[in-house]
Amino acid sequence: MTDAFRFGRQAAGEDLSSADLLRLCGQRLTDAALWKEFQRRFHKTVLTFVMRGMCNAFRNDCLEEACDIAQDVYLRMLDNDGRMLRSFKGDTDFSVKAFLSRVAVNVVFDHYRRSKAEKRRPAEVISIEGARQQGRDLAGEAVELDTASILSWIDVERLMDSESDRRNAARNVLIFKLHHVDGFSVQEIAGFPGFGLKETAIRDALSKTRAHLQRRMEK
Amino acid sequence: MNRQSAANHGECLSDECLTDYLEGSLDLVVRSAFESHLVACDDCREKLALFMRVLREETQPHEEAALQQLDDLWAARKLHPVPAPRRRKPFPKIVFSIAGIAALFIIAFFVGKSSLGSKPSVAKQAVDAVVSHRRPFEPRVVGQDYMAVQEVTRSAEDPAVPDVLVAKMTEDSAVAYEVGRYFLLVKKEYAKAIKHLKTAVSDPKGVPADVHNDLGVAYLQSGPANFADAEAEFKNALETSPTHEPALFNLALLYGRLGRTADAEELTQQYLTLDPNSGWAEEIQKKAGN
Repeated sequence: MTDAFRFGRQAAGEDLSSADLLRLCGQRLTDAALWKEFQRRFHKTVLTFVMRGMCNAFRNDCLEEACDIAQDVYLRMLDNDGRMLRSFKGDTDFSVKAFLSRVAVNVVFDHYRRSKAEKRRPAEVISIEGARQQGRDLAGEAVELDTASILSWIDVERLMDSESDRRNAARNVLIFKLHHVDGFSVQEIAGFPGFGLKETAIRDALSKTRAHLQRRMEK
Repeated sequence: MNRQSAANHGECLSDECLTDYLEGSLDLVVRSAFESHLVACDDCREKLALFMRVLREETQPHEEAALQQLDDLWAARKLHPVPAPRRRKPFPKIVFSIAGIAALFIIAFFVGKSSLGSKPSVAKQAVDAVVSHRRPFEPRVVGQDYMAVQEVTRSAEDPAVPDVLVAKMTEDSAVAYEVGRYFLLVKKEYAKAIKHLKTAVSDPKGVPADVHNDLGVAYLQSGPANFADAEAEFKNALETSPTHEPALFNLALLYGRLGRTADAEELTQQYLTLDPNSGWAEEIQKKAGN
C-alpha cells in the first residue's frame, strides 16, 4: 500500500498506484475525481480487453455489442457496492490488468452464454437421410478428435519423460504447447513474468524440447 | 488429449490462479503443480492462452483501428463510467400533496399579511391627506407633520374620512388599530380614542412611548378633568423615551395650560435642544414667551 493511500492524499487520485486507485474507487463509488482518474488510466485497457475477449466474434459490425459489453464490465465492478474493487488484493500494475482482464473475459463469456440461450430453439425436424449424413460427419470428427487426443497424450508423456531438465519439464512442455499449438511467439511468452524466462531462454527450451521429441519419434 | 484425463491432474484452475501464474506471484511448488495441470488439461491451457491474448502488451495494427472505432462509438454514446450518486427513493405522492397544500398556506399567509398590512398604509395615507389640510388641535400626535394650528369646533367641514374606513381600520389588525386611534384623535372622538388607547397601554408586552403620548393627547383634548391623566401619560412616554419630542412638546403645552410657567419653560428648553428649527419649535417658543 502506498503512502498516498495510507495518509488519505487522494484529491485527484493522480498520486495513487493503480492498485490503490482500484481499491479506493471501490470504497468511493460516487467520487467523480477518482473515477475520472480511473477512466484516464484504464478505460482504453477495458475496451481493449473486451475486444480481445470477444476473440473471433469481434468484427467491425460488432462495435455496438462491444460497447454494451464494456459498459457491463463497469457495472460488474460496481456490483454489490463495489465489492470486487474493494476486495482487490494485488499490488502491482500487472495484477490490476489481470483483474480487469478477468472481469472483462467473464462479462464477455456471460454475454455470449446469454445470447446463445436466447437463440436456442426447439429441436429441428430433419429427414432420415439428413440424420444419417450428420451421423457420418460426427463419427468422422470423433475419430479425428480421438486420434488427436491420443497423440497429444503420448507426446506429453514422452516429452515429460525425455526432458533432461526434470525440474522444469512441465514448464518447458507448456511453453512448447503455447508456442506450437496456441501460436504464441517467443516474444509474447517472454512478456509474461510468470514463465520467468527471457526470449533466449525460451528459444533454448523450445529447441531442446523439439530435439527430444524428434529423438523419441526416431526411436 | 486430454480433456478426459484432466481429472487425473486435480481440480481445474480458477481465473485468478491463471492470472496469478502469469504474474509470477506463486511460490515454486504451487507453480510447478499448476504447470503440471496446464500441460495435462487443455481447457485450462486454452483459458491461460486466452488470458495471454487479452493481457499481451503489444497491440496489433488491426486492433488499433478497431479500438479507435470503439472509443469513438463510446464517446458518441456519451457513456461516462463515473457512477452517479445513488438516487433516493422518490417521495410518495402524498408527500407532494401535503407539500403543495403547505405551500398554498404559506403563500396565502404572506399574501394575506401583505394585504392586511397595506390597509393601514392606505388608511394612514387617507388620514394624512385629511390632516394635511387642517391641524385639528394644539397637541402633537406621533407622526404628525407640522402645520400651524387652526383649531375649530367639529363641523360638517371636519375631516371627512368615511366612517367605513374607520371601522375597517379599527377591526382588522393591531396596526390598523393604531391608525384607528390616530384617526379617532383626528376626528376628535376623544372618548373612543381613550378607550382604544387604554386597551393599547395595558399590553403586558410593553407599550411604546408613542402610545402613551397619544393617550395623553386624548386626555388633554378631552378637557381639564383629564389633565392629570394626560400629565401621567406624557411622563410615562418620557420615562420610556426621555427624548420623545411629541411628549416633551405636549407636556410643556399642558404645563402652559395649567399655568406652571417654570415647568413649561424648562421643558421647552429641553425640547429646543432636540428640535431647534422646526415649526413645532417655533410654536412652543412663542407659547413659552407668552
